[in-house]
Order: sequence, then structure tokens, then C-alpha cells
Amino acid sequence: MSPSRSELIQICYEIALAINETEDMPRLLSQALTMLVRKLNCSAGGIHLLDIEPDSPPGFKPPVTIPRCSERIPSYVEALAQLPIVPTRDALSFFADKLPLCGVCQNGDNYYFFDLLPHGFLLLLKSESTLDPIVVKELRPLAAKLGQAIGTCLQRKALRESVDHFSMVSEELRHYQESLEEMVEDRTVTLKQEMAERRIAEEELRQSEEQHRLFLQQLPDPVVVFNRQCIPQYINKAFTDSFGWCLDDFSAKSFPLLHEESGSKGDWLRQQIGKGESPSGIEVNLQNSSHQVLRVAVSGIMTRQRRRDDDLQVLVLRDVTEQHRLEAQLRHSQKMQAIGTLTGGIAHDFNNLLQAISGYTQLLQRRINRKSREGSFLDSIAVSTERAVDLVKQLLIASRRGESRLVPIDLNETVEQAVKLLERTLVKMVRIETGLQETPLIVDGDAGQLEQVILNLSNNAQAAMPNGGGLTLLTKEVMLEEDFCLGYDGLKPGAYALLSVSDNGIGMSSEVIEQIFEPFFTTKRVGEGTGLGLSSAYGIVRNHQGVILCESEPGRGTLFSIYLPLSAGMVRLQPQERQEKATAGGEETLLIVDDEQAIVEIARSILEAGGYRVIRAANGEEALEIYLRRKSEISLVILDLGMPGMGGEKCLKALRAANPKVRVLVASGYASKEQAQRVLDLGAAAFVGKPYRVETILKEVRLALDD
Amino acid sequence: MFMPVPEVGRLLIFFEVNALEPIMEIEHTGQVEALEAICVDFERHADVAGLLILTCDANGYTPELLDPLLTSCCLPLIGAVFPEIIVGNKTLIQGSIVVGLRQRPDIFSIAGLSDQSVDFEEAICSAIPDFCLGQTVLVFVDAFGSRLADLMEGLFNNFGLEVNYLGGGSGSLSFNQKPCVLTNQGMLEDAAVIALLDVASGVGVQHGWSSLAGPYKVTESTGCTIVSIDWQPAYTLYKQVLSEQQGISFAGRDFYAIAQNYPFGLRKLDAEMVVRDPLTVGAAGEMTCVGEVPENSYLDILIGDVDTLVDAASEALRFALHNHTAASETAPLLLFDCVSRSAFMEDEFQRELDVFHGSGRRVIGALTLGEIANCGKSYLELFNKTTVVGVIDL
Repeated sequence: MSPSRSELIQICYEIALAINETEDMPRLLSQALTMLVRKLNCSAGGIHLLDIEPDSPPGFKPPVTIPRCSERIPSYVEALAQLPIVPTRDALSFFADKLPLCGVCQNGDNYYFFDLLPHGFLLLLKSESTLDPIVVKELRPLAAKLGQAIGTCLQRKALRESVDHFSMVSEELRHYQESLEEMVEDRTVTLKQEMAERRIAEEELRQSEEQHRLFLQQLPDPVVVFNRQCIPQYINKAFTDSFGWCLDDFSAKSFPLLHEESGSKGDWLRQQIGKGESPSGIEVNLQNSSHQVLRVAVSGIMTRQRRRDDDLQVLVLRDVTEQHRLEAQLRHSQKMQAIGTLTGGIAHDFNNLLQAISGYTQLLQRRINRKSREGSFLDSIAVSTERAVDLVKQLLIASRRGESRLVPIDLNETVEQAVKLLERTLVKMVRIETGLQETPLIVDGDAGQLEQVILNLSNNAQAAMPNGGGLTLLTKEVMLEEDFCLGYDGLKPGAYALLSVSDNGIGMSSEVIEQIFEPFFTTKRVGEGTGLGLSSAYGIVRNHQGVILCESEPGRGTLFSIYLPLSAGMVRLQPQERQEKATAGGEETLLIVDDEQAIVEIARSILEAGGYRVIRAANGEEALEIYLRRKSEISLVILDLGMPGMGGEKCLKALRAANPKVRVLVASGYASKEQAQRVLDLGAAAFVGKPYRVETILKEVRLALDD
Repeated sequence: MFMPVPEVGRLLIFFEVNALEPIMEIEHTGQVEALEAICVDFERHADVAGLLILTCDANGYTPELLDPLLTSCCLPLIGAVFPEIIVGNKTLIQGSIVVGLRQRPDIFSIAGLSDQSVDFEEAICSAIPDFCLGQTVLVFVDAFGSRLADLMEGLFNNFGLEVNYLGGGSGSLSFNQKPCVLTNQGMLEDAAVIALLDVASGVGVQHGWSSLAGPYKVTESTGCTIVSIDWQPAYTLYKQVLSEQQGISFAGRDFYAIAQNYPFGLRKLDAEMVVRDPLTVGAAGEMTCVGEVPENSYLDILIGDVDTLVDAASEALRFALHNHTAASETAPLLLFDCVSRSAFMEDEFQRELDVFHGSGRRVIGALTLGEIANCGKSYLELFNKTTVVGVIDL
């Protein structure tokens, strides 16, 4: 049955619309094939497209068939047998040239191949009827249109794939860009953080280094940093201040400051630095840039670096020169104190003995003719006793227990007085030079004792210059700092008068210097000296709250420096000499308080010989009891200080308490200047040292009674 | 019938051959309990491996009433609710036909017939059992689903011409969509149920309508609704043609009462036009049919008379028998005749029923809202106003 023209147009039109309806390939093929099969009333159909894969032979593949399991339709499979067995390009091209192709299957179904140039073919299967030739003719352009649509779809698909690919690539690029930007941003943030942290760390490191450098710079102890080659890499300010060396001074030197006296310790120190070990606990002698030798304690710290060869040795040097000096001075001071205690004790006992010898000698001299033989014996005894008394006095002075009468004096005048004496006594080969400060140097001093100091030093200088030489005496006002005073007990910072006595004699070794102030130490031959000159000078100066120093080197002369504290206000005071009265003796009643029976008896003999009535008390308690009973008749109490029981000072206080107007003369064979001053402050009329001469005690008693 | 003396083992076979009478029960009350009783009997029947249920809309079955029965049934079942059912040369407006299927059918349902997102071809493909033997496919659909043509394409693309399709649209003449498809999951709405039967069949499809006027171009349509024809509101052109050529006025008259006499026809090559039965007209002049009308397609306004329609029924029967010449004498006719043919032919519809009844075979079936079949070796279609008859070895 041939379709009418209008019917054919309608059907073809609807098929054509279905072909044009979409650009989506699967949908296009599905809709077009459905419309073809449906409108042409076919039993099956399929669109087979040329499949050209790069790595496989060309062939046709059906993206869509109706029904989908077309391979189960025998006639459909039979129709496909029309395709080239070997689907080469030429065979496929030859097959395409034959289209449209019609035929009949064994079961009577009709098949129709239409060309979908250049993409494949359309296969329609029609059962129980055939397509009219006009229909077949009309279907050719529709098939061609479908082919074009497929081409368009493929192009669009390719374009879309390209676009999709481009979009995907763009998206990937964008993603990568975003990721990269994020990474860059993250990394930037991280880097910023790291940089900030690094800056902080660097700043902290710099501050730490600065602090360490500042710490090292401000460290009071010298610090020097060595490398393994013993070449200094760093020195701090204290180092430069102490040694005078700059870092540049070490450019070609390994350890120039090691003094030769360091000896094996210096070598050991170098080896330790070279081995990277930390030296510690050693002391070496180093020399400064002025070649002065300093005693230095060394402590080392090894700072490890990444490379062993870069290790640095930090040496902390502590100048112990002054410490050593102070220690020596302390030892010396302690030694002198011990010696003083010893000699003081001996002198005290000797004094008591000498008091008895001297007293009885004087009493005998009054009774025996001085020109008789016995008189001459007594004179000899008296002379020896006097020498013994002088010796004990010097011992007491050396042990700082001598009696000093400190009054403001001009040191320059004392020096001038001494120089006058020296000019007469020293040998002419000794040239005396003086350099005195033009202005007076007022010190609280005992002019006689100070003069004795100058004479002692000058005599020693003369001995040190057997062939003659120069003796120089200089005075000047100086200020002593606290550091200087530390090594001397009782020495206080302030203004001092410096008296220096120097010679250019043979000088002394350090070992000798250490002993020169010890009593009885002498380098002179026997009989040339007592060994008490410098020790008494030492005691006198120390009693003046001063200090005497000695600097000397063998062959380079000797310098003694005496520092005496200037009197407050530097007011020149005239020495107040007590008015001595010629009167010696009286009729008053005296109370003698002393535990030494011999002393009491001697004093009693002397005083009774002088006309006085004498009452005796053996200790303070007895004296107080007697005084309370007979105070109306007792005019004066002669009181010893060193007694058992309550002692002299307490007794004095008790007496003063009983009678504030009581007259007390303190007599003691062993009393320090401070102790004497103390009893005077407690109200004693005077202080007289034992052993005393007859004239002395009579004079002091009379002065006390008349005061 | 001559039967050779069988061996003991073959005797059963002969008994089976003798038992090829269809197993079926007709229920006339429309009561659920009566239907349930038949189903229970069939469940106990040794020869029944599945159920085919054709039931009437007038029974008033709802999911609440029927689902307990359907879901508890241990036999696979397929069925639908139709305006009327056919038994012999009679139509019943109440009651049910229950057929016991001797071969166990593979049954699956497809939901969402109006859902544009459903890919029916893929849905059917995934629903088909991995291994199934089917020669005949029974298909019942909710007639008011809007994508029935897509479902037909999906069926054809999956099963091709290896099977015969037979079925129709179910629902109510109230034209309100409601659950009308019967499955083991219950009564479904907007769904289809499909059974693959491994039994031979022959199918005949004819309608007897011819062109009154046309062709006209469908210039706008959506699914089953024709919005415009030849750039005019569909109803405007429709009225105009009928007025001019038939002197018919719609004023004051029921639309369907007239429209059932003048359906649309979609042309296809070498076959009768596919009829689309206009059911309703909208306010904007759009006309809704049973089955889709593609946009840009051409259609004719058809006209028919009782004689041509009865002749077409005879022709359909002839085709069916021709297509299954090996059918047993007891193989019944499964008839799906359009309910609008019945309305159009009125009392003369009996003549059409008599055509089938006159074949000497048992006739069961239903008046449908759209018919599903492929005519011989041609494309599967959803027809309207068409007679679909199958001779099938149930």
C-alpha cells in the first residue's frame, strides 16, 4: 500500500523534526531511531556509527538499536551480514557507496541500509511489508540529514569535550592556581611567621649575644676568649683595663701575657687550651702591657662549636695580686699581733722584776756612799737596770703597748728636728735630702717617738749604704682610699701625712722584707743592733693609727712609707706640758693598791722616804673597804690596773662612786694607750708606767695631790 | 481427541493436556471477601502458579480494602481496575475475573508514570529478572499517567518483537486518577504492572476509524494534552471542523458525548492511524486525550460507524488467530476493547462482543482506557478506541 503524498510528507516531516530536535548525541539517535521505527512501522532498527579508534581496526558500532537487544533478532543479525567481513577503510568506503541497500531476510523481513555519511549507516527492519521505493527515496535525504546532525553532534560533542576539557583544564588550572595561591598564601603566612619568628629569634639571639657581650664587657674580671690555636678572639673591657692589652696586640702572638715566672703552669695552660680542655683552679703570673707582673687566678669554660676546631676557650682571669697582698698583710698583722702579745706579756713581768731591782737599787744608793766600792756596784746595777728598762720599753712599743702621749704636732717640724740630729750622727758619706710639704702636716702624735722612728729608719739606711749614698726624707699630704686601707687593721680612708724615708742602698729581698718588723730580727752582725729598731718603729706608727710600708729590691734601695692620719682640722696646737713642780714629797696619807708585794714595798719605802704615810691594800676589794673607812684621811690612791678580783678599772669606778673627788694615780707596768686613756677618762688624775723611778713617782704623786 | 495409550509416566502429561481448560472464576458481587475466597482457593490450587485479576471500578475497591488481600497473596499476581469487564459476550460493571495462571509469571511494577525524571527503559531493564522466559507480555497501566508513550518505548526497546504485548489502560470513567493497578505490593496509582508469561499468543489490533478531516499539525502539546492545532486552540479548531463538516454544535452538550464519536488519529506508515480519544477540554481550549500526542506531529479528526468498527473487530480477531495458529482449541480470547467504542456503539457493541464470542473460544477481558499491543511485527503502541484481542494459552 503506497502512502499518499501528504501522508509521506507528514511522516517525513515528523522524522525530520525528531532529527533536528536535539544536539545531544544519545538523545538524537534515540529519538530519531524511535521516530523512524515508529512512524515507518518497523519491527527493529539501529544506527551504526563508524568507530575509528587509534589503536584498533575500523568498524561499526551501534550506539542505539530498537530493541536494545537487536542481536537476538535473527533477521537483524542476518542483515548485518551485508557489512564487509574485514572492515578495512576501503571495504567500508565501498560498502558506503552501495547505500541505500535493500534486501530480504530468510524469514521474509526486509532490511534497509541508509547512508549516514560519513559517520555510519541506518538499518531498518520491516516485517510483513516493504517500504515503498518513494519512501526509500525520501528517507535518503532524511538519513543524510541525520548524518549531518550526527556530524554536528560529534562536532559539538568534540567541541563540548574540548570546551569541557578546556573548562576542566581551566578548572584544574584555576584549582591549581587557587591551590597554588593558597599554598603561596599559606607559605607566605608561614614564611612571614617564620621570618617573624626568625626575626624574633635573631633579635633574641642578638639581644642575648649583646647581653652576653655586655655581660662579658661589664664583667669586673678580665675575660679572654681563645681559639684552639691559642689566639685570642675576644677580650673584654676589664681585660684591657687590667692588662692594657688590646685584641690587635695578640694578632701574631699566642699568649704574650704569660710571664716567664709562670713556668710549667704557663705551658700547662697553653696545652689545655690547645686540647680543648677547660683549665680551672690555677694561678699564673701574667704581665700587663707595662710589663708589670700580676697574679691571676684562671677559670676556663670550653664552648663547643659545630666543628671541633672552632671550639672556643673562655678564660676568666681574676687579678689576685691585691688579694695576695692583703692576705700577706693580714698574715703579717696577725703575726705582729701575736708577737706583740708575747712580748707585751714578757715585758710586763720583766717590768715588775725591774721595778724591784731598780727600786731597791735606788734605796740602797741613798744609804750607801756613791763613791764607795758598793756604791760603784750599785751604779752598775742601776745602769744595767736602766738599759733593761729601755729594752723592755722598746719591746712594749714594738708590741704597741708602749705609752704614747699623742698631741697635735707638725710632722714637718719633727722631721726637721730629726734631720738636725741625723746630720750630727750619720756618717758623712750619707747624703741627707729632704722634701717637706710646705704647709704644716698636723698629726696626733708623740714627737719623741716619731723622731725615734726617723732615727731608726735612718740608721738602717746608713747600714744599707756602707759605701755611702742618699737618704731622702719626704713629707706630703695624701688621701688613702678604702681599697688601700683594707689590708691594715684599724686604718681608715681619709687624709694622711706621708713620710717616706728612702735610700739607694743594697736593698732587701722579699723574704727579708716579710720579717723586718719582727722583734729581734736583724741582718746586722751581733752587737751592731738589737733587732728592735724597725719593730719599735712599727709599733709607734701603729700606735699613731698609721701604717708603715716597705718596698725594696736587692740592689735597688729601700723605701719606707709612713702614713699618719692628719689631725682633725689640721689645727696646730701647742703641746701642753704639765707644769712640773720641783716639790717632791709631802705629809699626806696615800693608799697603795697592788697585788705585787715587792712593788708595794718599794713604793712604800720611796713614798715614806718622801714623808708620806702609806696604807697598803692587796686588791681592789680591800682598797675600797679601806678607802670607805678612812677616806677622810686618804689624800691619794695609787692604783694598779692588773690585779686579781675586781681589778683596777672597777675599783676606780667604785672609788669614784664613793667619792667623786677622790684622787687616783694609776700605775701599771703593762697598759695600752687605750687603756691608759680610758682610766684617765674615768677620773684618774694621772697615769704612770712601771717600773718608775723614785723621782718620777714622787713627782707624779705630788702633781696629783696638788692638781 | 485420539490419545495413544500412555505409559504410566506419560499419563500425567495427557492429563495435563486435557487440563488446558483455563482456570478461572467469575465473581459477580464485587465483594472483597468473595474475591479473597477465590484467591485463597487458587492459592491452594495445585495448577495455579499466578493470578490475573480483572476487576470493575464499580466494586469500589480501595487500597485499604484490597491491599491486605493483595499483599498477603502468596502467588504472583497482575491485575487492574477497569470501567467494565468482559465475560463471554457480556460486559459486567461489577465483579471480577480471576484467572489462575498455569505458568508462574515474572511480574514487576514500574512506578512514576507521570514522573519526568524516570528513565523507563532503564527502569524496565533493571526490573527484568536476569533469566526469564517470556513469549507474551501482559501490561496494565494507570491510564492517567502522562508518559505512557515513553513506557511503551521502554517496553519495546527492552523486549522488542520477541514477545507479544497485550494490555490496556486501567482506571475510572470519572477520569480521576486513583489506585487502579493491582500488584503484590497492593493497589498502585500512576504505575504499571508487567507480567512476562511463557505462553504463546497471537494478537490482533484494529479500530475501524477513518479520517474525517486533516491532516492538522499539532503546534503545541504537552504529554496527553493538545494545546493548539494549526496554531489555534485545539478545541477551537476541533469545534470548527465538526461544525463545518458535521453540522455539530457543542453548545449545551456534554463534550465527551460528542468527542467520543470523533477521535484524533496519528498517522504511521503501512498501518491504521493510532487513535487518540479526547476525554476533556480545558478552559484555554486544550484537549486532553488518553495517550500522548507529540508536538509537531500531524493528526486527523476521525470518524467511524458501527459497521466499520465491528468489521475491524472481526479483522482483529482474524489477525490474532492468524498470528497464533498453534493455539489450542481451549485457548481463550483475552480482549481489551476500548470503553469509548462501547459508548460510541452503545447497544450495537453487542455485535462486536458477539464477533469474539462467535469464535467458539472463551472470552474474557475488559473495557479499557487505552489499549496496548503490537500489531503483528510492527511497533508497540498505546491505542485508543481500538480493539485488541489476543488468543493466549492461559
